[in-house]
Amino acid sequence: MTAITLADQLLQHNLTPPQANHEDWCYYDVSRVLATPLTQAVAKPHREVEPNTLYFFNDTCVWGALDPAITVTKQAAPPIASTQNPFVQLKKDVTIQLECQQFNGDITLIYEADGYQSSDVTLTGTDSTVRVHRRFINTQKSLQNNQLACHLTPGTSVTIVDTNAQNKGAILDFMDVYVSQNAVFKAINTAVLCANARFQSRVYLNQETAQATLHGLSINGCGDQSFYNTHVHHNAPNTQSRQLFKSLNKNDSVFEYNGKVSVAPKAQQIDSYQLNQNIILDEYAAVHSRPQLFIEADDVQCSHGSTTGDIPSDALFYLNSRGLNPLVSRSLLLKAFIQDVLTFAGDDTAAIMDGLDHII
Amino acid sequence: MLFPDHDKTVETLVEKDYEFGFRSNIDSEKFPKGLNESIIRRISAKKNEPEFMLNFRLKAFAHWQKMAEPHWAAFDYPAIDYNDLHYYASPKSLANKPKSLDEIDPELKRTFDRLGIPLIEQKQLAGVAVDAVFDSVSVATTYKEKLKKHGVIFCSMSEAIIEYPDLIQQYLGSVVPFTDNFFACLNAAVFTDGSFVWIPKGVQCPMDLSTYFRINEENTGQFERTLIICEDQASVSYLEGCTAPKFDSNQLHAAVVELVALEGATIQYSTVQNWYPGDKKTGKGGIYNFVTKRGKCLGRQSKISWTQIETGSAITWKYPSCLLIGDESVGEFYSVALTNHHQRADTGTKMVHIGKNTRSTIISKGISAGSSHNTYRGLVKANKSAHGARNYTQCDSMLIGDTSVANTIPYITTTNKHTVIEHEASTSKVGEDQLFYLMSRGISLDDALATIVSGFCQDVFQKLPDEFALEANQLLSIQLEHSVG
Amino acid sequence: MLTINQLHATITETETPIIKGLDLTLEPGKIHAIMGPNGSGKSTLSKLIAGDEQYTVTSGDIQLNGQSILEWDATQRALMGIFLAFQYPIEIPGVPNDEFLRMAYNAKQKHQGLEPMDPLVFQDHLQNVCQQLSIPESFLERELNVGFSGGEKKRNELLQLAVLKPAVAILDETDSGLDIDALKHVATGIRSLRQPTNTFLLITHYQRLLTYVEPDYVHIMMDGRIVETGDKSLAMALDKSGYDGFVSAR
Repeated sequence: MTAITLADQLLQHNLTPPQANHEDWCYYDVSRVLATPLTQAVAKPHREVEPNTLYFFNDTCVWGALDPAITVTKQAAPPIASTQNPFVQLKKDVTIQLECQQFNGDITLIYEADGYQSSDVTLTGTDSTVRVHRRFINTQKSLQNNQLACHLTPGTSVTIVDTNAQNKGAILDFMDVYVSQNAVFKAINTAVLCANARFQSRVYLNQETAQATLHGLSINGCGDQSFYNTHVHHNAPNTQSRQLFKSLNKNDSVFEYNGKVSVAPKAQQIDSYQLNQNIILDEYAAVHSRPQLFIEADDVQCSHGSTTGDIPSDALFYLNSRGLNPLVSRSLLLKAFIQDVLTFAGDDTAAIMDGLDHII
Repeated sequence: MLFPDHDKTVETLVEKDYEFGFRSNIDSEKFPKGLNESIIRRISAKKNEPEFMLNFRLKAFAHWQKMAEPHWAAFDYPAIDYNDLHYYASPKSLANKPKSLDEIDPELKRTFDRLGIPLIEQKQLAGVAVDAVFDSVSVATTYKEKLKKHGVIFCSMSEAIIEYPDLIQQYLGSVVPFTDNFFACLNAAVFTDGSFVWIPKGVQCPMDLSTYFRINEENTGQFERTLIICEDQASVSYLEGCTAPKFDSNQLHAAVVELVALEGATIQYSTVQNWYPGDKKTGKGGIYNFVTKRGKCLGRQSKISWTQIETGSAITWKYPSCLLIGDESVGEFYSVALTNHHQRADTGTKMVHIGKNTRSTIISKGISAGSSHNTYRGLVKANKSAHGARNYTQCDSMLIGDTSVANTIPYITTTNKHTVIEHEASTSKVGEDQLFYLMSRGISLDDALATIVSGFCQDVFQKLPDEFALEANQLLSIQLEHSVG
Repeated sequence: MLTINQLHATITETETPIIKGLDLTLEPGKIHAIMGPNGSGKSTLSKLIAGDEQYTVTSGDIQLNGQSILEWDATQRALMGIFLAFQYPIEIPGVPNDEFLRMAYNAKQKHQGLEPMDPLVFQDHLQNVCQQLSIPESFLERELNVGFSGGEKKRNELLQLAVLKPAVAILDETDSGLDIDALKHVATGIRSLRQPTNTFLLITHYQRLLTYVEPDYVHIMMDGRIVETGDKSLAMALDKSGYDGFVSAR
């Protein structure tokens, strides 16, 4: 019996995979993911789960002791309805409701795959300041397909810190974020030496003074592929968004930043900025940068920038001329280059810097 | 009256209309509506074309029938019935091509006079030679003899196909093959005329060349084709202008422009596009401007520079592009696109870096007013071979009023370490404070707006040949009148 | 010349009252100064006179030579001889300073039924004005206020004032942010532009400028009204006591 693949599973549910001419997927090799066999290994004995931590292994989810301000419930997955995002729509047995009520602290989500792992989590933050650490563990050539929806009620602040390093399999991640008045959403994703990672975020700034900051750092070793696909919707006046995505790319790697900012009609006084900067480290790597603006209100400040190239040779020369050898100089400049992406990465910064050393 | 020509006190004054919306009463010979092989054979026969040309057309037509109309741009338009168009319309008086400018039908001359394009050489703008295209055919080309003395060929495409078949066979379709896209393919099958320019080795063309396109007949598609070849170390500056009468129906304009620059050659191609944009209130009528323009920098150190001022048309899809093949070749794109009322413009460029140390610059200024949509869509691509490629892109959008839309959609792809690609974009509005500042110095509201917009476009206007810069400025002010207040 | 009568005005958007029954008369050939603490409505008053639609007159009147100006927009007021030197002059990219000046000058010429001035003649005229005000001619080629330092912007306002020769010149905090040399330049400029037929209104927070340009009248503005009018000694007294002291003395 041949193993069931993702393509088979989509077919079972009458879902059509994204087509190669779809502009959100045009550089992504969907066929590679579709052909992945979904055979799951025997369920791994669950590791001891830390407090305030949810652990996803393949299609299971367990959690450790929870702070009284956090509740987690499992609910039956809703029926498959639309085909707008076939991967998200793929049947997941349960959805996890994660609610924080007046909670100030950290939550950890660990996603680990051996074969096929999928999850559907809805996080609701009320009067809370939450920091969510997500760790992606995919050391076999597995497939991970996760969905996270975040609802930020007025005044809530949610920061998501994703770490994703040295993974061999494919990661498809979908995040939908709804931000209301005075709420602040921040996310930083790092993909360090990962074979295949695609992170998609849709952020809806639905009420006045909502704010979102999206950061991404991708360090692509030889043959690695990483894709960031973001879309920030300014649906209300006086909302603010910042996007900063950087990448370092070695031979035969592929990087894409496809970032959109939409400003709805009548959503005036918008302040939005996108910046994507990429460095190609070896001779040949493919970098696709697509910062896009769709603006339907006139009183806005929206701008974006994109640069791709090598380390500036004048800076390198300057450091060399001060007696630093080329290797040290390069490493110094690369660290400086990524510094501003990591402003709120906290404890994860060290791991990222290790990854950086690895490729230099 | 205290303020005789102050806009606010004369609000009843009718908005300035599309200036060139008149239709000339000229007897014309039209082929019946419809698109099929026999129409294509008739076009080719009408023009006494050699067989290779007919074959080119038929091959294109066969391919076109297998293609689907693109609908990828961000807006819809009513389906075009390609069988409900005339593919050939020509003033009867041109049945036998006039031997000299004196023999041209006076009504035709008057038409071009009204458009500011006198077909009498003495009256010409100093130093500009004109090829005037009326519906499907070229009416006249001025200064041909003078140019010939310098070895420059400037004539209608029909004439070139007969007189210079070798050049045509070598270059026609070499930059935009008929397989390229739906509209280019249609053009290859049915094009009726256009301009041909050939500048021989080492010649700096002694005057600016210009083609003026006029659509006069209703329900007629205009499919012209322009081919410009600059041999080694040669250079030319070429200007293109266009207008059409006001009709309630939409008219299709699907042109193809091909430029070839050999070693050290420079081609500057400037367009002031002022096709009828459709009715201001209802959006009815207007030109669908689906044009393919592309240049090949084939030779080392060659340079192609596109400058465009787009103010007309109901819908514009247009991406004048450069294939930078020769080492150290240079591509430039300077664009001002102004949309107002119900216009839709989707324009930008493609810069494909193939040769070593190639450079490109893109400066795009989009201004959207009224209920219009204005999109910049551009591709910058550096291939593996493009060592040392450098691109700088700047896209600025300006919104006037809160019902217009501005989009910026860049595609940037690099596959080579030794490249530097920079892209910047910003969106701004005309500041109330800027308007107030200028008004408080005695400048009227309309003039203040025109001044701010013109300042916003300054980087591009500077690239235009002088006589065009002035025209461009005036066009902008006319299009923008009463856009704020 | 300019008469303001029981003026009440609000911020258009929020309808917050700012000017609350203000009376003021500017006399030809005189220099008036308005002093007042932050938030007293000084800048609002200057913008109201110039016709900024961010503010709305709710009652009262402003008259220029007996004619109400309230129905006129900013352009019309400028054509009739009102000039405001902005506290924060606006940057307008891509518009050359000299061309802008010629546009404004010729708009006024046209309004007065006069021929527009020939570009070359105007250029000479501009150069003369620059010399008079010791403003470098390089100002003329630059884009309107773009990349100008604070001091340069203020001097550019003065250049416009000299070229347009208004009947009523209002200078809104022209002295703020200037070093002592720049201040002297501005003061010399104002003195040289003074005519028996025009009037100046200097709006300032400090007494500093007034030591270089002696005002004929000093008006104290507080909470949207002129609360006291006197001669230059009033400014000196105020400088000693401060606004708080002034209030408690009242």
